[in-house]
Amino acid sequence: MNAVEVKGLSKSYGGYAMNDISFPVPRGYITGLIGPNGAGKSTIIKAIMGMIVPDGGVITVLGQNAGATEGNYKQEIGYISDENIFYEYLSMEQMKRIIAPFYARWDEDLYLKYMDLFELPSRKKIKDCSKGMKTKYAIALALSHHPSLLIMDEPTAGLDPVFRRELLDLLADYILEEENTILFSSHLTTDLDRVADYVTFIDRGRLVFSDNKDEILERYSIVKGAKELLDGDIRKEMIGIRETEVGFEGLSGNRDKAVKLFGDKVLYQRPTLEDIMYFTSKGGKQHA
Amino acid sequence: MPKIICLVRKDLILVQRYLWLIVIYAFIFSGFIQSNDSALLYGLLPGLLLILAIGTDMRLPNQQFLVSLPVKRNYLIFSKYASSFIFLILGIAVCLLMNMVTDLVDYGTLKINASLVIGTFISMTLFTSIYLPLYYWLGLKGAQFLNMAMMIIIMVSNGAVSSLLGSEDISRPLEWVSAHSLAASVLIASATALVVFISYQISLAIFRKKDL
Repeated sequence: MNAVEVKGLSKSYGGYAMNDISFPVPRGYITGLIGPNGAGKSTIIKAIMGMIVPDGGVITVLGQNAGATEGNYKQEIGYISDENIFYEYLSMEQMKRIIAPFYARWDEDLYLKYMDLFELPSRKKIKDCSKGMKTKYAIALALSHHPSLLIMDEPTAGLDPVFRRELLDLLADYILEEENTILFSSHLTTDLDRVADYVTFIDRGRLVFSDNKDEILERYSIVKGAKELLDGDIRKEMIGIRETEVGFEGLSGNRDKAVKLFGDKVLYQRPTLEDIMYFTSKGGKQHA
Repeated sequence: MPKIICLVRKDLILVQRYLWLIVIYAFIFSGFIQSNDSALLYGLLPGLLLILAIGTDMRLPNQQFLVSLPVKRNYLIFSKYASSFIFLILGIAVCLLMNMVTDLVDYGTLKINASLVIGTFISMTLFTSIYLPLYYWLGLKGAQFLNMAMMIIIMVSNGAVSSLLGSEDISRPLEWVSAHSLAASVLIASATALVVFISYQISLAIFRKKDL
């Protein structure tokens, strides 16, 4: 069963258009939503959270209809935004007093445990907290009502490496509960390289792929070789190419096909998610 | 706890930061410093309280927070109307209390100016019914101008309603109202409820389509 099903999602505003995006978020796993800035990651997350009204498409969360006209499905969601959405002039304790009664499974002891773990002073006003403290606080609130789906929009952006690692460890603990699911959007793909089971890649409002991360990394390949090997047909086979004075580095979407084309004349490397995102977003010929 | 109550409670918590402002305002414009039954007190205090209460979550991130809660958008709108009326009643109650205290100090008697209270309630209900759809339509930037315009309208219209209720021109209609108090009350209550209902439907239609 999928925790989230997005089918045919379309949305356009201003110069931006997202067309017919469909992908699942498998239950019990961490799914990374990747793409460059402005690709549409936040739009998808906002559509799931009912913050925007899509032009078309259907979203279900844990079997319930989701979107701008629904509400109750969010009992199951712990949401962490990329910016502070809480009332800045309130203290963390006051903000918690507002949020807690909305959730049927609010766990005060768990909340206090996270506040203690993150060393967050309850009486401190949110506006006086650092970016890291605000993110920790958002995590504490999101986890304290035992959500079975955690949705995080760029949670690690602007955080120091120490807390980023701690956060990833926390997510690893959360996902141990086999019914729990995480949807994690980020343009910092190294975090997702570390923890994601599935990856959905969005670029300029279109879906590039949505699949098991290990299968993606097996399927794609970085190819490095001499410049003379590049001709028109080979260029067409590559998703993106970066050329230097002495050679080229490119991304193939099909490792087996690349091996047939180049044989042992080139070097093959397993790509990172960042490589895939870079070459796909940049496309054709790039000069270094 | 029912979700509407949670949302109204949220507004009460948010408005606590303005308590000192309301107390100072209520004192300055009360009969201790101004004349008793001052239009500045009855007109502006409930209006000020309404604008403060409604504006507490005007910022886009705060609206995103509200929509991230497990409540439907129509609950958010309904609760805003519910909070507005609670604050309106609280505002009028503060005005009454201040006037009663000053009357007691000045004249040693307690009196309630019913026409002023009713006039304030009706004009503030109309104000809320106009203000809320505009608030949802214009958002934060537009609402800053809206607030200024509305405070001026409150001051002018509340004074006008109060003086109208006290003028001779309206004495015959008022006599009719006095003679048919039940029918008049039903008529006024129905018309007010209709205005509020239409306003709620407009706010809902705007907010349901709003991208946050």
